Amino acid sequence: MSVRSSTTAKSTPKKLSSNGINRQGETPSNDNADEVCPICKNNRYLSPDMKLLVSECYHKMCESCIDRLFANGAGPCPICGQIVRKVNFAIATFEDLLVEKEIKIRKRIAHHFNKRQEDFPSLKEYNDYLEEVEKIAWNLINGISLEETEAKIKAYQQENHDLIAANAQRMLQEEKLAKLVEEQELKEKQSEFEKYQKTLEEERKMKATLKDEFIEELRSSKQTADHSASTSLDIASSGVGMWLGLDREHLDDSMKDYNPAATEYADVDGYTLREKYYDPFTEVLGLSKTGGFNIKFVHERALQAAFSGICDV
Amino acid sequence: MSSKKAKKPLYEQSTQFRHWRFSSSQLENIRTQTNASAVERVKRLLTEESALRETEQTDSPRPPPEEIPYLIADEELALCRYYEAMIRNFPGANFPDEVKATAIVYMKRFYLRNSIMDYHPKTIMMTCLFLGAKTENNIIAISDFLNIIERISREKISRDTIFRHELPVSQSMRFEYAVHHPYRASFGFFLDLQNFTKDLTKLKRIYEKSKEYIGTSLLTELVFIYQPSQIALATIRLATKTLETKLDINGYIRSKFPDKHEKLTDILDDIENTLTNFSPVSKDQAKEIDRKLHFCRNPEKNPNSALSKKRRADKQREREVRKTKRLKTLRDQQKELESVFQ
Repeated sequence: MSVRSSTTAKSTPKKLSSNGINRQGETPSNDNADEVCPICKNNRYLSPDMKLLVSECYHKMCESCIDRLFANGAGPCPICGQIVRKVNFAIATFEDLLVEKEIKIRKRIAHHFNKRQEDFPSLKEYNDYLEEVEKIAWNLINGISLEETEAKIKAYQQENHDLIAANAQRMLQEEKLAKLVEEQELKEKQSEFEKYQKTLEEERKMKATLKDEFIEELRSSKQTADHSASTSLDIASSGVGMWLGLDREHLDDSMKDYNPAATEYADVDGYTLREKYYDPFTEVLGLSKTGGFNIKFVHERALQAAFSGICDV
Repeated sequence: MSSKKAKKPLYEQSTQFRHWRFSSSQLENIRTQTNASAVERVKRLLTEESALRETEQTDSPRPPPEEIPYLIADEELALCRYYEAMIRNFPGANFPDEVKATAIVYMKRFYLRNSIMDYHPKTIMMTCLFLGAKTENNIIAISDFLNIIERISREKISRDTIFRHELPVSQSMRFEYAVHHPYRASFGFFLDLQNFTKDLTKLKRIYEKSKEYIGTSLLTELVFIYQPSQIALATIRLATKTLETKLDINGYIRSKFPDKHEKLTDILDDIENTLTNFSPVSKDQAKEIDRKLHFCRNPEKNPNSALSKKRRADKQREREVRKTKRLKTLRDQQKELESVFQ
C-alpha cells in the first residue's frame, strides 16, 4: 500500500508537466482535420503526420517546408519576405495567430516593463505608467510606428536597468515561493488520499474477516444456516441490532432464559372452576355462539377477581 | 424458565393496588393538606384580585379576602360526594355500571390532590364521565354527550370545557386509567356460591342486591381502603342479611378462608358498617357549600376575573415586548448588512 502511494507521489508532478507539453503539441494539429500548409498545399487528410509551425513573422508552414527552405541557414519568409531562421519556428499554442502574436509581444514587454505599484509615489502615476505600457503594446501588435516604439523601449530599458533587474529577481523569488506552496498543497492532498485509501482498505479487511467468521460459524455450529444468517446480519448492520436488544453479546442475563409464553403472574387460588354455572347474566347476551368466545373464560375471570387480594389487610 | 423473584398475582401488580391504597387516616391527612394549600393559595390570589378591583370599580359587594369563610376539607368532600352521586344516578346515555364506577373513582382520585376551589366539581364530573366512557370501552361522541348534558341540566357546555379538563384530570391520576371494581368480584362470588347452595333464584337476588350496595360503596372512601374482592364479599354478606335468606354466608367464609377468616370478618364488618351508616349528601347541604364556594373560588381559573384579565394582559404585553425586541435585532442586522455595501 505505502509503496504504491509513494510511487504515485513521485510520478504525479512528472505526469503533469508531460501532460502540459502534450497538450501544447496536440491541440493545433488534432483539432483541424482540413488544415493546409500554405506553401506546399499539403493537407492533413493526406499526411496525418504533418506538423504546422509558426515563424517569427507569424506565418504557418509545415515542417518539411521549413526543412527544405531553411536548410542553408537564414532565409526570407516565402509569404512576407522577412528574414527568418529555422530555430525560431515554434509550435503554435493558439489557432488564431493574432492571439499568438499578441501574447508573445506582451510577454516581451512584461519582461522589460516590470515596475510595480510600490515603485510609484501615487496611484495616478502608476495608472499613467500602465497606460503608457498598454500604448506600447498596442503599437507593437498593430505595427504602428514600430521604430519609434522600439526606441522608446530601449530608452526605458537603459533608464531603469537596475530596477528591472531587481524586479525580475523579486518575481523569480515570488514564483519560487508560489511553487513551494503549491508543492505543499499537493503533498497534503496526497496524504489525505493515502488516509482515505487506508480506511477503505481497513473496511474491506473487516468485511472479509466478518465473512470468514460467519462461514466458520456456519461450519462449526449445529444451528441451521437460516438462523445464523439472521444473527450475523444483526451484528453487521451498524449497531441497529444492539439498539433493539437483539445483539446476543449485549443481552443481559435475565433476558437469556426469558420465555414470552410463560405467564408473568402468580396464579390466584382458592377456587375451582366448574364446567357449567347457572349464569342468567352472560348467557342472555347470546355470545356463546360467537367464534372464539367461551363462557368459561368469563367465569374464570370473575372468579379470579373474587379471590385476588381478598386476604390483603 | 424459572424466574428468580416470586411472581405476584395480576391484581397486585395493578396501579390501583400499588398507588391507590390508603388508610383512612392517610386519606384524611392528604385531604387536609390539599385543603390547606388551596386555602392559602386562593387567599393570596383573592387579595391580589381585590387590589386590582379597587383600582377599577366596585360592581358587586364582595367580602374582603381575610373575612371569607373558606371551605374546610369535609365540606369539599361533601360537595364531591354530591356530584359523585350525580354520576351514579346519571340518567342519560345508558352507561353500564362500570363506566359510572370508573368515572366516580376518577373523580375521587382527582380531588385527592386538587381542591374544588380550583376546579368546580360540576365540570370535573362531566370530564370524568366522558373519560370513563372512553377507558371502559363505551365510547360516546362528544356531541352526543353534550346533548345529553344539555337535556338534563338545561345548560350549554362547550366541548372545549371538557377537553381542557381532560389533561389535568389525567395528570392528577398519573395517567393510571385502569380501575378494578367490585362488580366482577361480586359476580365471581355469585358463581362460587353455587357450590354452596342449591337455591339459585335466591342467590340471584342476593347478587343483584349486592350490586346495589357496591354502587353505594363507590360513594364512600371504601374504594381507597379495601380491595374490590373484599368489598364484593361484604356486599354479598350484607345482602344475605337484609334479604333474610337462610344462606350461611359466614360458614362459607370460614370454609373458604380457614386461617384468615377472623381478620377478613373484621374487614367485612367495617365495610358493612360504613355501608349501613351511609347517608347521601342532600341537595340543601350541597347548595349551602356551593354558595360558600362562590366567594372562595380561585380567581385565576375564572376567565372574567380581574386577575386573569391582568394575567392575560401581562402575557400579551410580554409577547409584544419580545416581538419588538426581535424586530429590533432584525433591523440592526439589516442595517449592519447594508453598511457593508456602502
